[in-house]
Amino acid sequence: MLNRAAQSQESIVTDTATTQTPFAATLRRIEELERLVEETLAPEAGWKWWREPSDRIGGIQGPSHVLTLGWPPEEDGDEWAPCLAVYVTQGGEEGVAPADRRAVAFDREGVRYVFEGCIHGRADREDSGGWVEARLFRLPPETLARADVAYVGIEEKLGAAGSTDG
Amino acid sequence: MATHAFPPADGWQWHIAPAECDGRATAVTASDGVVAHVMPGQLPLGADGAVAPPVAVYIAQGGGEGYTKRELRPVCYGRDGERHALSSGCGGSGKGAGFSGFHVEPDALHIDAVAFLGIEVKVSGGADVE
Repeated sequence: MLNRAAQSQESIVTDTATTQTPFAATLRRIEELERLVEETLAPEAGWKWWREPSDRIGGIQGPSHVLTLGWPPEEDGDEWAPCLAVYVTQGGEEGVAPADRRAVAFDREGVRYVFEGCIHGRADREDSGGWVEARLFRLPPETLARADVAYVGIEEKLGAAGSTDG
Repeated sequence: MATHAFPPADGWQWHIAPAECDGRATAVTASDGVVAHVMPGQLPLGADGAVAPPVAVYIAQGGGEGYTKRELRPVCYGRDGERHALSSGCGGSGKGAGFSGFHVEPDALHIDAVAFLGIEVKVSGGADVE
């Protein structure tokens, strides 16, 4: 049984090798490796990924934006520091609770870092009673330097009543 | 300072009246379905770190599916009283909310020269979205 499985696996590899260009074979290998990496980036227990971890550090997805801000120096004369930040907004009808979301980074060793909540605001609409909230999270450079960030995602707490659009 | 010191542009009115604002400090203000974050923006690509970032303002609005989107824009005033309407650079949206990101370049208004910030809403021309 195992031998037959091994033979079958070998024939697949042989077939693939003979029908794919080197570029296609390399691309497929890269995609397999990316999948293996992403499988190891699990959300914390009790949370799920709202925005899957990505190695493309930056950009807009739905109502969220991963960006690198200039962070002011603590003392005059010091340089502005690049600081990874995540901006997330959500809205809902009156009586609907917001989802609990937070940004998470992974370094090149696969160690996870939860962004710190920086500042957030919420406003109800006077005409409909609906609401909107926006949060800014930051990853202090002293926690993990921007250059050492390998993946960034956004987790959502399970069981929250909020929406999961995105 | 009284709001009348800062008249809105023709065809616009204040959704959030101008208030004192330090461009360096991250701040948030909210009113009637609108949340505005003020923050130092992205450093220019290739910056050596000594370069100050632009002032950035992100405006979120929402209220559930089918919310009525309003045309909003941040307006900064420098220490000399000069008015600067920020230009929109990016945006995103989901079912119940969306945002627009605005900025003003340092050569037009340096981040250390920001003194007041308000949010204008267009009086007419609003449209339903989603």
